[in-house]
Amino acid sequence: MKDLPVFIIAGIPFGCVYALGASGLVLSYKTSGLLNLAFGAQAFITSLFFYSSYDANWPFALAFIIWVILFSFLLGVVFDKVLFQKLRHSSVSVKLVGVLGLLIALPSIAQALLGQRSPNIKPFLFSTNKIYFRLFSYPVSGENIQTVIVTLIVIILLTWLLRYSKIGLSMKAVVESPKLAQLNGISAERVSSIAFGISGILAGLSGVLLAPILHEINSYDLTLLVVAGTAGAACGGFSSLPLTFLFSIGLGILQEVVAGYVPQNFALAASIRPSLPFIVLIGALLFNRRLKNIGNIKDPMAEVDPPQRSLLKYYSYNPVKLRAIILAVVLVSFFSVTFGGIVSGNWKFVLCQGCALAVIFLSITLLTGSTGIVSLSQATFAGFGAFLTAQLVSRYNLPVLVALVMATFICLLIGLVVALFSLKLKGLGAALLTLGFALLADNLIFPSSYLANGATGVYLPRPTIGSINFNSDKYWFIFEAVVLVLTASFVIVVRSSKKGLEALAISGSVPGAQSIGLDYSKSALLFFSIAAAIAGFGGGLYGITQQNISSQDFNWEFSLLFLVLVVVMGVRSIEGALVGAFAYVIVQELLDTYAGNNIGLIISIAVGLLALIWVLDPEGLVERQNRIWVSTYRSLKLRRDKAVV
Amino acid sequence: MTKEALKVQNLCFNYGNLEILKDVSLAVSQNSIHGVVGANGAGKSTFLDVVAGYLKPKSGNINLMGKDITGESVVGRIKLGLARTFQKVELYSTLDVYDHVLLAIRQKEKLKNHKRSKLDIFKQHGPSKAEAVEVDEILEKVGLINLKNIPVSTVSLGLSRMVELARALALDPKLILLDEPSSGLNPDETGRFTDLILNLVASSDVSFLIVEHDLSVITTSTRELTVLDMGKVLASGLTSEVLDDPDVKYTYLGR
Ligand SMILES: Nc1ncnc2c1ncn2[C@@H]1O[C@H](COP(=O)(O)OP(=O)(O)OP(=O)(O)O)[C@@H](O)[C@H]1O
Ligand SMILES: [Mg+2]
Repeated sequence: MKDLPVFIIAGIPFGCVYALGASGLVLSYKTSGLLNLAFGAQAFITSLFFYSSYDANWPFALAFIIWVILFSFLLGVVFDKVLFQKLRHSSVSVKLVGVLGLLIALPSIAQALLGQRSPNIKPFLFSTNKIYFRLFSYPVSGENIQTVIVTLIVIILLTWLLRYSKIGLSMKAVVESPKLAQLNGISAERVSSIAFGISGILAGLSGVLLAPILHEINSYDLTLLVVAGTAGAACGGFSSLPLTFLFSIGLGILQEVVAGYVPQNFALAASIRPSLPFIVLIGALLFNRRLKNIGNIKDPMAEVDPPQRSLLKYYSYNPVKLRAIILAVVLVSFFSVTFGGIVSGNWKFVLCQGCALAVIFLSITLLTGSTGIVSLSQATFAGFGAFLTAQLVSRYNLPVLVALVMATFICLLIGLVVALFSLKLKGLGAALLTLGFALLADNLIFPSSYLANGATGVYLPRPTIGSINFNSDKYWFIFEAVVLVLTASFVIVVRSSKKGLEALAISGSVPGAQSIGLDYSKSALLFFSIAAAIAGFGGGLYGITQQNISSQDFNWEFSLLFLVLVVVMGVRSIEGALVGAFAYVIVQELLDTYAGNNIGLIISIAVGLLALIWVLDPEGLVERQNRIWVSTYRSLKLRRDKAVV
Repeated sequence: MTKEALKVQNLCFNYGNLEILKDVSLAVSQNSIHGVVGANGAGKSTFLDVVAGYLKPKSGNINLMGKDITGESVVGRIKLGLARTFQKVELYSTLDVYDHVLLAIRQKEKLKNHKRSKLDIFKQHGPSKAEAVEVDEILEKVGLINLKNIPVSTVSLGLSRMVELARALALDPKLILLDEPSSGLNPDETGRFTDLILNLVASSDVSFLIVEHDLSVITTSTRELTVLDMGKVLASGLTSEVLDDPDVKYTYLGR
């Protein structure tokens, strides 16, 4: 027990960093109704720019004022003006995709600008690594001292700002009664911009202080910061700043204490520590009663919700269209692959990947397209599908396709459990919960030797049916294409079924659905678990295509990427998923050939920017094309009919 | 003797420590229209939410067609014949007019005939012959038959309120709660709306409890009226008598 004070002291600097990020999150959320998860990206690029300049021998004060004060403030203001204010009246999914787009694109843009080499982290207020004094035998070093001091200064400044300054009073007025504030001549837009500016500085500070503690700047730590900050803010109900500070610091301490007491020979010892914020986030979402309605919290400015954009009417079951799609896919695949001159070796493999990915994407089409529920764990379900298939094959010697079917079923059950947990929350809360689940799986569940088997990964064999050996990409592609067509038909049929119509009604208006006795929970459970099964199935196919996979193939970032790609292409039509998946694998292959090792950066930037373009006009790209075709067709038909008359 | 479609006794409701409804009692006679008026924030919408089961009362009793429904769920109340509309229109933004009524008709069948809900993920959503007839009947009644394939996101506020009414009617209810059905409507539309509900009352056994700001709607359509003031009943009874009440004249009509 004599170590306890040591662990506590060790946790405080982490807690301070989380608290800075979290308080920025709360501040901007309260004045705008938008949960800016991109604050992690703001933290990351601020610290990248700051340390790069400082490393290039700028004077400390100059670098600090330019990057940590001015730049991060402006960044927050610009985000608000250019993007967030336009998302005011948007649905949860649009807001979420907007901030996720930033979160994906920004770090890559910054890295592309500065080159991938990360700067030296030079000490500033105190020298890092130097032990200044010992507290309960804990060696207190420079980075610890500076983190705590900066945080204390921030607390004092923030308290003063919110209690006594004019802008603080305006903020308070806006939070309490936006309408009244507006009557008193306070511009809510200006207030929210300033709040985003201040939260930008807070994010920047957290990034700059985190780097010396971790001795590096990388994008994984950014995730940790986002989740830990969100967890701290969630514990404070996304509303109380003092509570947010307390809980965040508590989280930092808890992390070190738990890490300190977990026996070193315990199998998951290494993953407990980074997983703790995710566990706390999930716990806060489930048990903090103040968060029950977080999904429904509207922008305080919105007096009346404007009607939602009229999107293309849902796709009804259309046998002609269905057959046309089947025919097209089958023909194209048959010709391109069988008469292989067109598609050479590696490209066949790419198309195989595309099919599997398209199946995963269809799970998003089904879930988000019909129910409006946003899941940030579809790649996780895909991972479960793949790893379970592999384990069933290697442990029980099952034929790989049988194992795939069983894994799909298990994914259905896992989906059901996750859905049961997320039922209490709706909208944003549910989406955050799935994010927590995805991160938990990445860190705590997948590494287990019962699933992805750590960094080694697992092996999946291709099946053999009769004399056909699917080790040939040609035959495997044909198999997958058929399976893809079947899955797409399944999704079309389910979406246009009676339950599908009910789900659409519920996603249109929950009280409206309630008024005729339609149940949100049942519909959510049903669609969430089916979508989990489809994702698991697609993940299994992807694994069999790749044959060798590890947990990195399905980490949480893929869930974001998949979601963004599908909604951007059009979440209400299966074509959106198909185009998204094939475009992704093809572009990836092209970049692999021509762009060398910048591929990750380019993809992140492209996907992030696509997301940002999309949120400003949320009609899927493919969907829009569809609508244009349909209306052209209709007007042509109309003209022809008139001519006949 | 007129029986009561709805009888509310001593209903109290709090938001935290804030008393929103204090001892509210009123009775809606069968086959009639009962109006509720009151200033902004008087608690009218809250009252409807409590009656419909969206909010749980602190104390008091609610009777629907002689049955105590105080402990019933929202669905239970729908089964017993309660339907409602919303002050802020709550339509299914991606669906068309037809589907709104179709869904409500399916729900009515399911709830009233105690059918177990099936896992209909393969049955296509289109209407059966019988359902199609029923939907057309309802749409005809409210005058939306020519707009059935229009997406609700494109119709005017006035028509949206009609769609909400059609959806409520499709549940074949005994009592419909209407929350400010005429707000946002022009005088023409308002006139048509009052004619419609008067017709419905005359031709079937449905009753209405209608929250309304527009006094002309109250005087032309309601038989009974309740005035709410800061969560309390100021007066309740026959419309003409209530409107003559000196208290009501003073606080509500400002004369
Ligand atoms: N969620 C809530 N929490 C606390 N108070 C609330 C809540 N919702 C409503 N109120 C308060 O309850 C009171 C009654 O509101 P209600 O919406 O029932 O009024 P109303 O009579 O329908 O007014 P209006 O004519 O504006 O529709 C108001 O003072 C309102 O501020
Ligand atoms: Mg009201």
